[in-house]
Amino acid sequence: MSDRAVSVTVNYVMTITITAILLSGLFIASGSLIQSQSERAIQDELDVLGERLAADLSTADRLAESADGGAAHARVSTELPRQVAGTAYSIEITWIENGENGYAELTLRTSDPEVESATRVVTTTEVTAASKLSGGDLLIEFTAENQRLEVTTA
Amino acid sequence: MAALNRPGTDRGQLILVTGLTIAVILVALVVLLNTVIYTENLATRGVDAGGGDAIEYRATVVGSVSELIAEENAHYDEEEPPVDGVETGIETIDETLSERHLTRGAVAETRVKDGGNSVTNGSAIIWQTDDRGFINNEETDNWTVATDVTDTERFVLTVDSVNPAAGNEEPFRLVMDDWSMEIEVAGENETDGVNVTIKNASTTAIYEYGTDEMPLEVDLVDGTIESSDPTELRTIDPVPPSSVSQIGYENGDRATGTFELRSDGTPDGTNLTEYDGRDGSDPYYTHTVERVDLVIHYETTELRYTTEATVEAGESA
Repeated sequence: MSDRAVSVTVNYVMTITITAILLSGLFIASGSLIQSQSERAIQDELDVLGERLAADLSTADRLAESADGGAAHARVSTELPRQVAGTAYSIEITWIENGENGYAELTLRTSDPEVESATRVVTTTEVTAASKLSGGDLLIEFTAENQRLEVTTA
Repeated sequence: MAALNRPGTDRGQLILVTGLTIAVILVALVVLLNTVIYTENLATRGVDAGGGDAIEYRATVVGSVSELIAEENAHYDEEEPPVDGVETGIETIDETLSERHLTRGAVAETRVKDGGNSVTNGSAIIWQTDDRGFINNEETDNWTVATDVTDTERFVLTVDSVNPAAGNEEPFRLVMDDWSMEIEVAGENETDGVNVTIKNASTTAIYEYGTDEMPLEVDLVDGTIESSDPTELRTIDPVPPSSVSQIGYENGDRATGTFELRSDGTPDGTNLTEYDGRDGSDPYYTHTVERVDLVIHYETTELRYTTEATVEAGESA
């Protein structure tokens, strides 16, 4: 008669176990879904931000060109968010000379998760920037003295 | 704590953890959704920070000032010579365009560089405002108007009256190197009519006009003489040279009238003074506008643009 309560215990343990397994599956699946969707959302946003920065660089380049080598001063503010999907990102700008023109390669990158977006914009004026800029508002400035587009943090 | 450890009181912990986890998952999904909506919003927003408007403003200013220079040089006002007219016109262009851009939330400003010192003089314009003898400021009747003339746009003499010669007096004469034009009374009285004698080194031609046909308008660029009678138009032969080293009047006190000369020559500063806004009847000169240096500024919340532009006379807008 000492095993009269065993079925209750087994029932309880099994319920707990099955519930735990189901919940673990839900958590794992949800985590994976959120991770993948998060990466896609970040990728899309970095692409859009890269395009916007490229457009502003192009605008500044046109303003610099309008002076035709004469005295000019142009400053364009670029409004960018500090974070994408709750994650900080960095901006890397490299200018590659190509004959009379050249192009600026803009690389926007997050470290966790590791997502990268690269955009190219052709400019006639050289583009310079610090080796790595943090995400956020930027300033693109052209002066007659420097004759190049300088990108700095606003 | 004893109460918390009663058998059966920890049964809800699994549900609690589950609930919290689902809440975290939902928050994460909301953040992601927010990011996606923001990205969509950003992606469909206009990308031009106002650069197009700034460049359009610059082009409009350059075009307007170019038209202004052409108009002022061609149709100047004696009270406001081209240089002054262009400066006034640039202020008007600035005010007009500024108001238009202000409604779009942009500050647009145009000014002449260095406070007006960047308006460069071009060809000389010489004119005489009142009817008087063809004499210079010093009341001298033999004098030089301009030298080294290579391009004359306009040279018109309007002769109102000619004094009869007394004795051996020489007639009124316009001399351009070896080309000359004499205007004198045909006889001894003013009523005897007027002879216009035009000659160069090899040819001489005489044109006769009645006194009632005065004033005579002699256009030395078109090469015509037109009297007050509109049917009386004569083509000058020999034609006046277009390029001369010296333009001068002789016996200027023998005729009265006005003249207007627009050329690239050098006005003779000893005989004419530069126009300074005075209301005088002496012959004087001023300049057309050759070039204007402008400072153009355009500013919005996202963009700040300052540039210098040079607009030259004859430059196409």
